[in-house]
Amino acid sequence: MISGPRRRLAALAALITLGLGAAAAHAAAPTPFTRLMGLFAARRHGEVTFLARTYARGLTRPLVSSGVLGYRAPDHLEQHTLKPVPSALIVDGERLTVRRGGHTRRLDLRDYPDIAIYVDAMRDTLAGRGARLQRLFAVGFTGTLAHWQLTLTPLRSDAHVRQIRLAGAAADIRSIEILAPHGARTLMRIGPPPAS
Amino acid sequence: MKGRAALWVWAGLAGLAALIVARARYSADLSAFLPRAPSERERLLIEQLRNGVASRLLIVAIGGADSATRARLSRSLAGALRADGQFAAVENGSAATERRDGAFLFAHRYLLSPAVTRQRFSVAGLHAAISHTLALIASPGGVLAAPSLASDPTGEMLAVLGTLGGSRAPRRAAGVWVSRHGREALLLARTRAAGSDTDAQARAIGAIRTAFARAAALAHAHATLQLTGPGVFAVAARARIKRAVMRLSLLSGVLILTLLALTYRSLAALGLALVPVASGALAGVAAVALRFGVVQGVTLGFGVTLIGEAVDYSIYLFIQSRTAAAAAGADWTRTAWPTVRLGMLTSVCGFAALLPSAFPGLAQLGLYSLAGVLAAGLTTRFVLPRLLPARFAVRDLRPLGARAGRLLRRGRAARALLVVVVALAAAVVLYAHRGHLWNRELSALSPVPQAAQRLDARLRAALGAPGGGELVVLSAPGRQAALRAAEQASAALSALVERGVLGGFQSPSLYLPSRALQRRRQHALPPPAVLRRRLRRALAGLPLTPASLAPFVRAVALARSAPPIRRADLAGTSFATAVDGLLVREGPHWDALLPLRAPRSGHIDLGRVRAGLAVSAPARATVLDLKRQANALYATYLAGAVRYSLAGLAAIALLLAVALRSPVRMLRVVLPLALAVLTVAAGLLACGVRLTLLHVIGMLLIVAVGSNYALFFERGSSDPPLTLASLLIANAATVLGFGVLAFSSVPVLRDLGQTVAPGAWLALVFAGLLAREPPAPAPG
Repeated sequence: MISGPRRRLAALAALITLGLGAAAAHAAAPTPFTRLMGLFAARRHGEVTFLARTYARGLTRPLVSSGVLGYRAPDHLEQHTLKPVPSALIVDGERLTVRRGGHTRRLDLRDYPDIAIYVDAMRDTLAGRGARLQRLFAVGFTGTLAHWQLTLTPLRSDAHVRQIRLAGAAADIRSIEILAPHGARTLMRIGPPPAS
Repeated sequence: MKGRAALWVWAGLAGLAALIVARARYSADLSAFLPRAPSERERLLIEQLRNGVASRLLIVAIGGADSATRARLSRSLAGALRADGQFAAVENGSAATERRDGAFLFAHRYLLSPAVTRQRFSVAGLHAAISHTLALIASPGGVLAAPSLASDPTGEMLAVLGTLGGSRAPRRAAGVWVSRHGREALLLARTRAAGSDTDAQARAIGAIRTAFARAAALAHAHATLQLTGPGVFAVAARARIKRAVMRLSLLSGVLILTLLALTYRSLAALGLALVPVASGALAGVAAVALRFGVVQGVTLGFGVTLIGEAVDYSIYLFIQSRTAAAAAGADWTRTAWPTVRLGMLTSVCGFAALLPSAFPGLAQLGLYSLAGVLAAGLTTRFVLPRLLPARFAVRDLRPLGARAGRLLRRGRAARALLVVVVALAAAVVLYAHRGHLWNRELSALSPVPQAAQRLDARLRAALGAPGGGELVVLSAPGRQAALRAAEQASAALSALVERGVLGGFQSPSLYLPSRALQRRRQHALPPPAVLRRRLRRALAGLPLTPASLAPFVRAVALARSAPPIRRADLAGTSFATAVDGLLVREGPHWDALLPLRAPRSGHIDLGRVRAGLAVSAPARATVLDLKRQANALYATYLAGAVRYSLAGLAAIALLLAVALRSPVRMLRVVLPLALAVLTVAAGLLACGVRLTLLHVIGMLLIVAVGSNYALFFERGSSDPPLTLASLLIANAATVLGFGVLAFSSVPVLRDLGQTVAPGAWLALVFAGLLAREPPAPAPG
């Protein structure tokens, strides 16, 4: 036999359960961010040109460089700077290859946590791995699918990268900005695929 | 009257021995397994292994739970251990330490950077260096170098980090060090006590376990703790040896007592049988304590084997004389004692061969057994007969002897065939294994299990802590001279890294350059006015103004007049431990240790390293491969053991030749022993065992023990069934004593047991089969 207060309690429990269910249903509705991730996941590879400007205290004008950025799902990322001095950063899984001034160094990405933050931000976005992005960064999404901004703030307290900001239209990234301490930053404008 | 005197002498000696035994020092550390090193260089190495900073490092791995929890536990464990006076340093790769490391390197970049030269601070040099930094900042990921552009435009911090790149930093996750695969948080603790102070190491390990348990309980975390390091090995080995010695002594004691109780069915006989055993053990321990000062735990473990041998003498006396009737006792003394005495002397010859061994454990075993066998034998001859009660009698074992005798006679029909078949089979097995008879690794003797050694190697590699690999040792008369030598060697090694001969190396001079080099770098820095003037011209065409580089000019001015970096300036950074481990005092002089890391191929060509060092490092550089070195040392000891064993065998043969005065009689004693040794060696090899030093020693013991049996058979007996019965019981006691050793987890004890137990039994069987046909057994 169920007494009065008990019955009320049971009703309350049912209400809470229902409420939770509603909350779950709400969470399941795709947010613009998850839809954006879905668009990226559908893209398997891509190659674009970039024009980067680096600002830092003491510089009378930004340092300008340009080159080609390439991605192949799920884990391959290449950034080739062609001007003014050729250099390259190639990541495949956890293997990191750095080419600079005629030297090629093969490294393990896990040994270079700051490069890993940049690489993770790029690769997880391009592969549409929203959940993993949210594990590594505080993710901020503003705008619409047609015109969005994504701010990725590393959750690791010892990270030197302050923030990475991406902006774009649907599955096309238009700009990438990397913020370092003391106001130093690099802004990369993404252009069309290379002509070749 | 004479008997009374013997009793008094015995009692006096036993009392004296008991006193020495009670006051002796006992040790169960690993030093019994570390060879006494013949050369000065090797002595230093072993000293370094035992007491150096490397011996004080404990590596802690926290597994289980999730990454964040492991990091939290790592932090609270580090906090607890830092507050504990037992630890000189505790590091877990915390952000605070990393910040301090970075701050130290940045603050001293102009004294640490190998790029600081007069040329670099000329107009052209400045222009080139600054252009290079700007290009770097413009390259992918280079923005992270941008914030320090104004204070470090020539990129000295990057140059410093470049030199440290050879000593790979541990991986980090969630703000602490982690293993290569990231599933364990790692922590490095350095004890104040030396690694050879096993008690202090045990206390330190206990403190770590307690602190971890408390941290895990507070965090409600199901995490696991793994520890490794020389101290952990020493403590575990000591516990293992203690446990083994206790268990083995107890087990073999109980087994042998049970055997004797079943044989004698007399409490008095059982008690008396222990008199020679106890006398032998007392004499053995006392002799070792007198000669060596310290008694190794392993010696006591080996001592179990003495029980098997010493108990034989009373078995011969009791069974062969059967009663204590004065006539019977005197009879035994006349007829059987000369045989027992000869057997005893052959054992003494065998054990004496161990005395010059370079392993303290073996030398102690030799002395212990030699003294023990002598004491037990003499007690049996001179004391035991007087102690026997008037109406002493043991069970008549003739029926057992007679049954065994019948079996042997049946076997003798085919003995020629047997000898040929056994010898051939053994020869075939030995020949088939001729290329790999011996286990040449010193670690084969180590009581540290393989799994623990693998864990140690893995965690050590993850932390970049120097292990037992290849290293360059530079000796110099002082600290500064050692650092200067390390600098010269570093230059040569850097060239080898460039050419891919090495993957990298560590050097104390990377964190603490010699004063001379620091002064040279200071002299290369121009004064502020000059630097400002040069910058104006050097910055032509670059997006920087002299005004924007004011922090750089200030930093250079500061570095010019700064006092040189001293060891004390490293306090609080992880470089302090590195320098203390790599720059060590050895009596009047200093050693700089430069551990080498293999290139991608995984193999270091030490010949090319030596050649590279010879060109540019005038200081006396020694290139060592610790593992290979230790194995080479072991190989010479193995060869030594074989030589000593052969000398022992020759002594035994000479003794027999003198005593028996006949080649045929000698052959009858030696042949069964040789067959037993061959068969055991072949058997072990066929079972996939590769022979170690201890197997060789075991073979020597087969001959020493087995010669007793062969001599009894050779000399014949007035009462063959009774003699054979006594041999069977004595043999059973020996096989039990050594058989128990064969199941030990301590490799040295196991190797000895698995050789002697089967060998002693085979020696009895072969001796019985090859004996002269005895006259028909006397009826009754």
